[in-house]
Amino acid sequence: MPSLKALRAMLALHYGISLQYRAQSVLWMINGTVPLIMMLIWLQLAEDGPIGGYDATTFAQYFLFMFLARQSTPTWVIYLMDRGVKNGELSPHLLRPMHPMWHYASEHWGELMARLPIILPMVAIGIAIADAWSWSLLAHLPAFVLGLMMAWLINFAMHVTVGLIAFWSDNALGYDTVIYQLYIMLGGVVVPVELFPQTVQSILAWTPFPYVLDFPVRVMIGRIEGIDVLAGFGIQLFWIVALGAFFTWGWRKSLKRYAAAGA
Amino acid sequence: MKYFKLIALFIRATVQVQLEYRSGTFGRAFANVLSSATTLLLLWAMFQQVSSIGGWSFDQVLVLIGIVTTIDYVVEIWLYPSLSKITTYVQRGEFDVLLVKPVPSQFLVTFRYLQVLDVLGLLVGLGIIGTGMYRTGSLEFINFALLAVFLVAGLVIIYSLYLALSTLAFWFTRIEEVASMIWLHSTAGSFPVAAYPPWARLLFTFVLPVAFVTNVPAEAATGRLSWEWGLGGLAFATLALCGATWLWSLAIRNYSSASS
Repeated sequence: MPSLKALRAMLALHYGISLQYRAQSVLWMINGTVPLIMMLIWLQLAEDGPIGGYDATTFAQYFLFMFLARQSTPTWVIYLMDRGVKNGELSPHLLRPMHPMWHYASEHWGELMARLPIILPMVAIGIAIADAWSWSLLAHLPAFVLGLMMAWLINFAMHVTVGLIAFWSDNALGYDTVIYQLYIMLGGVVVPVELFPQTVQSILAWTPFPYVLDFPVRVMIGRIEGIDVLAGFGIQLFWIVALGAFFTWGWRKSLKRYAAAGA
Repeated sequence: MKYFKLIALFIRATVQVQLEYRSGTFGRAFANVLSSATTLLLLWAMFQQVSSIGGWSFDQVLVLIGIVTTIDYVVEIWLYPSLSKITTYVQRGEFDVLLVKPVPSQFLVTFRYLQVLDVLGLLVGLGIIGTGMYRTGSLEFINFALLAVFLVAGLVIIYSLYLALSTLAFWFTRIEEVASMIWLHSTAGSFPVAAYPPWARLLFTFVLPVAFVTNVPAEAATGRLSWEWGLGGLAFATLALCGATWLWSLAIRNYSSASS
């Protein structure tokens, strides 16, 4: 666990780097627009009446907050781990008095700080255009933010666990695509999880995927309420602990194989 | 003839490099199949809720998904490996070496990396198209012929856009991310353009022309193509190719080496 001062320094560093490449961040976001494209499709489909309990306003809210959730949780940590192992860039991080994951995580947070000021106005404009505002959303905001933070941890833990493959094979990046696909497709970015056939939903409930994007979004738009919200947080916590423990165990095993190419 | 020999040579060189990282080939094939499977699952889930999307039936959208998958893999095994190198050449000043070669530079950057080992994904795409055509009862020679023509036209459009975007690297050196916009075609193009609101239809026809890249070939394969859209597709492809080639030659003329 690094000191707060160290953490602040790392955040400032990565925030600075992200600002420098602002133009790139903007374009990177373009690739995260899948939820907005899907919103257009579902809005057209919902013109003839609600689908599975979702009317036009619900669809607009679901996909706009899905866009926000999607933009708040992405991770390229497998790429960083793969590069770290292949080029030996991991070596200096191992010498520091904190787990290398803190370095990787703070890179993501720094980038997020640079990205949110662009994303939030986009969501606000979207809500205004789609006429999807309701004051009840405000009440759900704290739970949404908490859910998103936990979601970030689940997604990061999921990815670093898969990223351990970098120590064992030269093809960790191939598995990055696999886990990314599952994160997007099963997370509700294309079809809201509630609209999946019942059997698919009950299988998905046993995986972490619906708890990364769909759960916080549904909390925000008020489709999960009361005790179910608490239960959801519990399951999120379970996945963080379970994946975290598995990663810690795997990290020890994998690090023994690290032979620092180029160091 | 010389050019075919060169292409064969490029393929051999690329395959040799690919064989060095064999485990990568398997991982990518696995990711490809999984990705197609999840896409089909989502499509099926959508059609559990609605009976048609933009007036297209499940089987018609299936053909569309097959087209998107096929084009995606062509981008992945050919266009991306080759054209994404342009920015690297320019940034590192390696471009000078290409210019002194006795073949047009556009030919070199276009065909240099053909990762033919990853053809499995391509077969998956063609398989999905075939299944969709079978289920819509459109397995006829004329449909296959039209599909081939408009699939090529679609690829020409994607190639031209990608080349044009990458060519901007000569003016703005950090451009990789712009070029990655090209992947948007696989999201936006997975649905009939008619399923979007009117303003987005215009966008997806003229700016990000998924209408011509994916919709037109899918209509051709299922025997629903109108001659207006067909002609439009061919005209768009021709214009795009000419435009991209012109931009490339303009960039080359204004290129001042980065290294010396």
